Amino acid sequence: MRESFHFDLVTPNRILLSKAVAEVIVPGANGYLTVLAGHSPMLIRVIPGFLHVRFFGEAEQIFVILDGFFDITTGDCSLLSDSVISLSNFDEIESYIAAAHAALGSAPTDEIRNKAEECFSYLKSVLKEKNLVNFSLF
Amino acid sequence: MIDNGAPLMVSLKSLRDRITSVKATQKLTKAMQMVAAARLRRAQESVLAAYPYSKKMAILLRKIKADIEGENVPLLISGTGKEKVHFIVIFTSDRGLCGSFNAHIVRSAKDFINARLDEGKDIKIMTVGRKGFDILRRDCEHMFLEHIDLREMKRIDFCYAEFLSKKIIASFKEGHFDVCTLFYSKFESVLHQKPISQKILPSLSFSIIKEEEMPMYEYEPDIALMLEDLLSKNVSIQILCALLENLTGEMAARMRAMDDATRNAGEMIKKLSSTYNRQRQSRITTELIEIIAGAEAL
Repeated sequence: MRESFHFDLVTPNRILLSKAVAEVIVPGANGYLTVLAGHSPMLIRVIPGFLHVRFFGEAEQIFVILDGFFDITTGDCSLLSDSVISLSNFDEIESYIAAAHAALGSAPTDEIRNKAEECFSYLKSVLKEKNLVNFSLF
Repeated sequence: MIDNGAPLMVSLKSLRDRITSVKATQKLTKAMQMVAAARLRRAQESVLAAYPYSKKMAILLRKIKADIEGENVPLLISGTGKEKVHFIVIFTSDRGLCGSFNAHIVRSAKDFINARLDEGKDIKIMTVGRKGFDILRRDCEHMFLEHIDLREMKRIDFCYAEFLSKKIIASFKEGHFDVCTLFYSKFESVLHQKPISQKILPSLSFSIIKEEEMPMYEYEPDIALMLEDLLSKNVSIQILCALLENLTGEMAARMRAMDDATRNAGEMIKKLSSTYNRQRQSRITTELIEIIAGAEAL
């Protein structure tokens, strides 16, 4: 039987996930990396992609992630990201897309407009790829 | 003669008008108090939600401290090696009606500025929020580097904090200042907000972490490639926490100020009503006396 370890998925707005998990697959700078209990300490720069979180006896959770830092220490892992949404929550995805869409039009600064553009185009590509959302949104 | 804020012989109509006007003001202040209370709750939730990220980021930076120390320490940590030019970023509110909230923050910043000027240092100022700018521009106009209005943003979020942090970091890298300090109000309770200063650049007062707690990290990619982003995110989250603390304090101060105003309006209504009733009674009595005197004369 594999061991579980504690995983926190933290954003500046809230803690999205904080529980014992079986494994986490994270899109690192050098490709996808599977993290299991007892992994050696590592700090990974996360690149845009899918974050898979697997549990014992529960359905897997998938998140779309744009950036962040994955901190692996013995028995405890944390992912700090300011751009992450859960693929299991369709309402959240749609509202995220709507917010990104609105931000494109009304962004007060180039910085925020670029961020919204980046967010919007990435979501568009990954969700189309996964065939997850209503394409009329685009 | 003035009695209870109203002239004794003022007409009943003007008293009635005044009571109506104070009642309307009371309704307004009550509504503002309720709005501030609702916003205060939301702001408190946002502050609490932002702290885990901030705390974890601080812990992470402490854990990789050993690997940062070396030859290639980034400018954001090492600083310029001088403390000649101080950059003061002052967070206040855009709107008034919140008691002495903004005045306290500005006073604390002014004390800091005067102390640094006495030491012969140079000062540059950035204000975020209209009120701080309005108060400071009279005395410190020549020190202003920039002013940002909060009303441009519908809500304070990480994106906005990142926008500010990138501005500050870019200015730091261009050598415009040596030390950056934030001034904002820390929310302690509805009755108490404490103006505080927080040094954000050069980054990080690394507190010592026990040797056995310090993991030997591997980095993907190399630490040098991600350190810049990590430090920039750390500055952003500190700015976000400061902005949210400040917003919470502002809402608490406004709620209290509006509560005081509502109570004062209530007391004024009571006094004006009492004056109105007294005058009305005296007019009726006079009229009765006149009628009785007229009847007796007949």
